[in-house]
Amino acid sequence: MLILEGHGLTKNFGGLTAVHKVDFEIQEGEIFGLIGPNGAGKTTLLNLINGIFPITQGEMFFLGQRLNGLKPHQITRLGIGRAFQIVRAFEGMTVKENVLVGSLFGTKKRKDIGTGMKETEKILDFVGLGPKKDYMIPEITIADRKRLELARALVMDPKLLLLDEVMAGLNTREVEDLMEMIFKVNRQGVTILVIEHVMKAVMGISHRIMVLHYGRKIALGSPKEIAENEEVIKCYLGERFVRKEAERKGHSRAK
Amino acid sequence: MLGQVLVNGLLQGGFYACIGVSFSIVFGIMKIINLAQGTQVILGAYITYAASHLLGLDPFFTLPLSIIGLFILGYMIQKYLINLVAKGGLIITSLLTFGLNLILINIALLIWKADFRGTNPWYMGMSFEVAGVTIPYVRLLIFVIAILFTIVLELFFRKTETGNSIRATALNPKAAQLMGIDIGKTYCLTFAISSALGGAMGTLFILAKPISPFTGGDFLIILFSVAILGGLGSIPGALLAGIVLGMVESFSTMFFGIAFQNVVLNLVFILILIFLPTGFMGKRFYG
Repeated sequence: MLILEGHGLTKNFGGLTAVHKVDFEIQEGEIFGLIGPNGAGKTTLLNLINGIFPITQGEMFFLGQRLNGLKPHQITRLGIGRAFQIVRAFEGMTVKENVLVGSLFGTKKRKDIGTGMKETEKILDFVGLGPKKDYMIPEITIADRKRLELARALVMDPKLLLLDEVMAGLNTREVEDLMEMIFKVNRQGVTILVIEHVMKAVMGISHRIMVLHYGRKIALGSPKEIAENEEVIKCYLGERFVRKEAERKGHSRAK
Repeated sequence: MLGQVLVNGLLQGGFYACIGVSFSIVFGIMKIINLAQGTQVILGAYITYAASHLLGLDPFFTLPLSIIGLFILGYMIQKYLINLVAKGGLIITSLLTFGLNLILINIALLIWKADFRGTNPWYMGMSFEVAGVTIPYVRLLIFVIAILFTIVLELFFRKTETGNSIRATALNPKAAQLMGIDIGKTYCLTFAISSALGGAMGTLFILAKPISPFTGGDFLIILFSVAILGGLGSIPGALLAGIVLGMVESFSTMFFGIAFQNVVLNLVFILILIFLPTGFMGKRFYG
């Protein structure tokens, strides 16, 4: 069954087209990877799903319901949770309070603060932040903040979870931990859309991957198909090659 | 003598703390400077004046009327005026509340004229003495109610669902809406709560002193001083700042006479801006 469909999605910022006529369908229960060079429109696409930016053209459906024109908090309550690329915790609150907010407002039904607190504790234990629940945000490490982002999204009991570069800035060990956790969430029946630059991670966890380049979809397929796709190799490897060249030149100049 | 000055300062400080909090939450949470807040306090006082004269109610028991009246007014102001221009930033919203202030003052002028109006409850001049210090019942009542409201508001922000949504919106509106919070509605509620608190303080104010449509302007310096000295949006900070300012006022009246009261308050405000711009609790403010 389809959980999210985009038909001809386009987003213009003035004269700049950030996302151009992108079609995609995400199956319920899959882990769907979204990759592409910087500025390819990945985060913009996520912002369209969330309703942060209005869609310029095209249509989006979540479980058959049209998302165009809905406000971000309404879309969230339908069951789309999001963890951020840049950690957006509420800095003046404790870890527990941060998650509590999602529990209280992120789902369709309203609940009292006691129930919210119970769910919060459960999720914090799940992501391994239980012992740090009373810490203030500046007191916890980057890896813990990423877990907190995940906890805040999970506590809203999402059907679809959007993960925007949650691996960035983590070491190998932490990446593996987080991958394990994402698998666990997926096995509980949550569909996941993941944006990631850590190739090992995105190739390792995704069932299917979509590649964006300058706002256009250039490929969609299994990780193996994507790894062998020539256009993807050109966009991605080419770019990396150029970057390495530049670095090498930069070093020699420094000497 | 010193004891009397201290007590006067403390009692006045409680009132300052509470009107300061009402201004500070809007400033700290929404980054909106409500220049009409002083006049909203006065509108609360006029509601009490009207209700006690028309209905013969004891002015103190009109408290629910001024709270409800100003809550509705505040909700409307945010929903139909400020939310529409909120994207324009601080200057635009400040201009809007500046204009709103003029409109509210003129409405009050049309209805109640420029005369000073007061209430005269039967317990007005009564007081009791403790260790040579005279404490008027009305002043004590104002102090107790103001402190009570301040504490209840702090608990509301910490312990309730809506309170948490307001704090979350203050800290990061974008993240808040992705966690299912309707930030437009949250803004309306915040402004309405601030107005309602202001209205309640108006009722308390007119118990002790007569008012005119222009009295609200006198509060502005107090509102800014408490909000900034306390740390924007911090309720415990505002409580402390209100009492400090009450003391400053009380002592300046004793040493320099009542004519210099406003001079000293303005001077203190300037000193705060120079030496303590983040206030007592500037690190932990909501916004």
